[in-house]
Amino acid sequence: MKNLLAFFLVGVSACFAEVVIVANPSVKATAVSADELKQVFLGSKATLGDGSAVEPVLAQSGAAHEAFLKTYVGKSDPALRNHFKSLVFTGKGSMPKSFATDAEIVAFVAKTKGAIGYLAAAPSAGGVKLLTVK
Amino acid sequence: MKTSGIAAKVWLSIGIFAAGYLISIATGQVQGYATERRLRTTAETLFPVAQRTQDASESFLRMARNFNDAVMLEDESALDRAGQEASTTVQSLRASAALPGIAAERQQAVQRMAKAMEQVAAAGRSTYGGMLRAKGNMTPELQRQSRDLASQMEVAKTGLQALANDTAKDLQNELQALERSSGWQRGLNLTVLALTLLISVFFVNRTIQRSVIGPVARVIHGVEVAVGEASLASEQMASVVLQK
Repeated sequence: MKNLLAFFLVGVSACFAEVVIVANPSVKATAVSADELKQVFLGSKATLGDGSAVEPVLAQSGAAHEAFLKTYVGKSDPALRNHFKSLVFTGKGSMPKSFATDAEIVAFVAKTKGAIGYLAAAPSAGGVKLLTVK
Repeated sequence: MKTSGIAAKVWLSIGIFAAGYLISIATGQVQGYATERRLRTTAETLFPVAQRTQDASESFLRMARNFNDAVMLEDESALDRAGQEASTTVQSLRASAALPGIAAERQQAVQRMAKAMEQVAAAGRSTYGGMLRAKGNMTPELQRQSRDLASQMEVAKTGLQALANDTAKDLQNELQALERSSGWQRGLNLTVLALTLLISVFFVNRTIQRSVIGPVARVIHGVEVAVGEASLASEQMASVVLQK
């Protein structure tokens, strides 16, 4: 019963969770389309429309992670991991880096040229730029 | 003397025909043995090589599918199945290379392929086993190994398919050569038979013309001349009697 309740709460929180897209300041774009986000996070595209090279960064879990995958990628977490495993197996791609907390994501995105990730809320620390979704 | 000449000519004609027939039979036999020898090579070498390289190609694909299952489904038993398929691939190739009568160049290519398959299978077991145990948290080194292995697998797959196609082509070429040889053999037999028949007919006809029809015609002509002369003599005798 407790598990069911927890599952329900995670589901509900995922539905209402907000997601903020962040990128390294080297990314020239200030906005990305939902389709571009999907392609970048599925590993099928490595540049944005303005020509900026990007590297996706994933969260390992959490409501924002679930909401991001559901809203922009259209895959569940296991399905996305399988997708990337398949890319690695066929030599067509590599697993994106993933971090346990938003702070780790911010730190990585801030120091890595072209990195693009998502957070549950706008970061308090600097070093990253916010991208709007068109 | 004349009778023995005719008989000799008739026997000569029959002898030419018989010799032609024997030559035709002899060439048929020689070519038949050659064809049987080539068919034996085809049955004992080319066909098994083609079949085993095809088997190797199929078991390699099954090995790749099992490696994929091992990584994607995190199924350890798929790794064992991949290992078994890899052994089948290598065994099929080694059995092909060991067949008697296989061309040296082809044998070397098959042996090289068997060695490459062994290396790919060992690397696959190590790398994909590592990916399976990492359960999605793959190190960059493991990912690099996987990328390298993916390209090695692709090269091996292409090479194996090319080898299977080449051995199938060897078999097809040999069967086509046998078909051409059989057609040529039939043509040769028919030509030899037709030639000897023509020569025999020519000699028989010449013998009949010279030894039978010619003398008979000369006798008939002689008889006709004698009849004419007798008739003339009879008329002359009749006119002498009338004058008297």
